[in-house]
Amino acid sequence: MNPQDDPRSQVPPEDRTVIDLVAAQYSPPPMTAIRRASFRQRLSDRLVQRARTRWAVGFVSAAAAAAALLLVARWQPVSIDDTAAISTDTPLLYAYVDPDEYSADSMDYLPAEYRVIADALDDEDAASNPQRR
Amino acid sequence: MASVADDIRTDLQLQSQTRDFEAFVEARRDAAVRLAYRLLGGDAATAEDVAQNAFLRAHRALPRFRGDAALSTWFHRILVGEVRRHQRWQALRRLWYSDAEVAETADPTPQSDPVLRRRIAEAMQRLTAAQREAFVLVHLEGFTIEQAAAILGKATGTVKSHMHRALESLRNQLGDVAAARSE
Repeated sequence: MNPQDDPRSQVPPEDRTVIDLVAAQYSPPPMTAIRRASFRQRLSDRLVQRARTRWAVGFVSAAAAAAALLLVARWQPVSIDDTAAISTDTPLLYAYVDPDEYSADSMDYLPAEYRVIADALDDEDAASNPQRR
Repeated sequence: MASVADDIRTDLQLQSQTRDFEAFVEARRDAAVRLAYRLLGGDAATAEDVAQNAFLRAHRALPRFRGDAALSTWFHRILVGEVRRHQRWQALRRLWYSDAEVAETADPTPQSDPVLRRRIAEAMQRLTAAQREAFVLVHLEGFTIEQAAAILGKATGTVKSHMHRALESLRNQLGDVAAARSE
């Protein structure tokens, strides 16, 4: 680099004094041998710890991936059987689904007491209007 | 057997890498701690922690180092990144805790005047983070403007501008002390 391009060479003397003052006073205390050894040891411990953590994370990830693969391999889609979904064992339920198919007589799906009333009404209706029968 | 030979070779490579990294740390430790100290505002213990984090990050990233930047620039970029991360974390902590709980410790410095050091530290703290970074890298650590721009990820013009403003601020705050000491 051209010395004239260096901003440090272009600093006026009064600013140079300020920079020198800051450079001299704004530094950490020199590291003692004990602190250096402590720094080295802590860094070494953290590197070992990180390597162990990475190994453990890798192991757990691999186990989780294997479990997921096993789950996918053993999974079978559940088929929904439309005919089995609605049981025809209960006549009443089937009657509610399609009463006309259950019985030729549309009144059969009604409870007995209602059926008596319905029959009576039908009879009355038939008596008053014979053409409908 | 090939597998045993491979194992031995891998082991030797790892040992060599470990030795290289130890040498790398040994060569840059003091400068890294000093730079972190100056950027963080005068806390030696925190500066050591931040420098350690930077070395750890460098260790992780070393296999991906492509060599398209100088190793020094590359490492200092990591270090400045760690300093910024720490400062963001400190700012967050200040939001949650009172200032007293996050009070930064002043280091005992038997070799100099504690009042003067405190005054200089306060003057440095009054600079913006960008001004402090530019001033420290160029004027205190001796990087060129181009190197500082590469480390900070900024244009050279921006770095010059920050340096100029930093120097102006420090001159206003410390000019009297500097003049008295130069007499």
